[in-house]
Amino acid sequence: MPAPTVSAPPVELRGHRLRRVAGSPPRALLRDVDLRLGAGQRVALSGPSGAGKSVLLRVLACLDPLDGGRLTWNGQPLDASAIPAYRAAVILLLQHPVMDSGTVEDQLRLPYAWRHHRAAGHRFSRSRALEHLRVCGRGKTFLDQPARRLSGGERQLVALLRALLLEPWVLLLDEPTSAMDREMTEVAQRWIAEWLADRPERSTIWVTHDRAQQQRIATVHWRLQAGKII
Amino acid sequence: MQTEYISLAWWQVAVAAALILINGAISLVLQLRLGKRLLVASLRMTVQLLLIGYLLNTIFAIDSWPAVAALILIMTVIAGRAAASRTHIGFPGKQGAAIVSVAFSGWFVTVLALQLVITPEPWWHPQYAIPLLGMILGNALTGISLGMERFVVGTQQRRSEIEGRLVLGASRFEAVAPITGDAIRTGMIPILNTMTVAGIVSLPGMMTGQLLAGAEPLDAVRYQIVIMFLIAAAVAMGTVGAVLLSLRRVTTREHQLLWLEQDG
Repeated sequence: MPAPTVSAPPVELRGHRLRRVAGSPPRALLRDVDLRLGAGQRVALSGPSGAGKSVLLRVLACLDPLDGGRLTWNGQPLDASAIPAYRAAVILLLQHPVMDSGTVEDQLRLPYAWRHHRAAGHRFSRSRALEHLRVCGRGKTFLDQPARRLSGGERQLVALLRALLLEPWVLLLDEPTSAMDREMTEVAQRWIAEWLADRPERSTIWVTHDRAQQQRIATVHWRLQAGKII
Repeated sequence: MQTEYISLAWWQVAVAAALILINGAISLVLQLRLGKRLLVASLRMTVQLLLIGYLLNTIFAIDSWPAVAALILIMTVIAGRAAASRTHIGFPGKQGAAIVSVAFSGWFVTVLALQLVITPEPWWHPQYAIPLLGMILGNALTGISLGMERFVVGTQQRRSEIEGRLVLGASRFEAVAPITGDAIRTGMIPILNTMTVAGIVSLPGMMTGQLLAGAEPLDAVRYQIVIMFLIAAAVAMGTVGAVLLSLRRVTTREHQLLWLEQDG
């Protein structure tokens, strides 16, 4: 099904009184969070662990059901059938990416076999992947490596590259560099900065504990505490 | 074609039952403490089989389709519930999914066999319909329970992998596809194994029964081959059905994977 509202700018993601309750005994993880992510905004999301940062990003990616409130994307409420298209436009990068069997290139190619990406005419570009990898001194041999043998940091790097190659409008980044060494972290930051610079409407919410990272990337700062943005 | 067979008297059954004392002795000597469970299992087996014996006697005597239909319904529901009980993770509609898939696959294949292959008169004749359905249900149950368990447990254990695909725009079907395939394969393994070794390692039960009852070996074999294919078809249909119905239940229309908990 075509979903024109999902692919066209202006980029605007809104949450109205987002509420999420889970666990046993049930605990409110998000308490009526209101937020607006506009075109070009770069948000650093911080807060103590357990404050609900990951929960918020998961809810924004529609990965977990809401117990109250609603999400709108470009002014439209999200229809169930349009959710794969929405998720391709607003990609959540999970902190611990799982690699399937096969090579690194297989991981990068994976999404293009799915219905939404095929319908949207997305094609895997090996040359663009290699262009990115050149930045960190990796090349064709890296693409041929078995993905399951990668280190934690390399997995995060591959997952980030896979997301960037899909050219999303919004990246929800949940500590995307937590397992990377300094050199890899710099590569990741450079990739993200270039992706943002390519289209000014692109925006991101970035969870990081690294102050320097927050200051380098962010234009806005949200602080989450006990399930509320303060 | 039919020759006489030796009918067993009750005292002959009692001689065989005495063999359970061997199990009891082993349990005592090795201190396995299985005595009570052996007794319960023996009693259950005997009582259940006697009951079904009397029930079948009655139903064969009544020889009317409502009676056959009622028994079939009961057998199906019990098979469905047994299939669902293996999966120790609860989800809404678990029993329903198992019962529906056991019923559809079992009935479809049995009716097909009665109408096109065996063709008794009338086609629902209890002497054919009930043992046939019983065998098919029993095997479909195994496939369904294995497949469902593998699928549901797999979705929870491999959550990060599934969610990793969802967040990149995969539909719920695409995101769990490897788990779906795995589960269906698992459900079909027992019948594939049985077919592989049939006649070499073991003589299948129904064929053995027919031989004991005096059937010609080739006659018995023909029946057994038909049954094997019927069972294989029912297992495939039932397993695929149960896994797909479970898929619709453990994921949502919003392409989310539910968080499920162990049954209490």
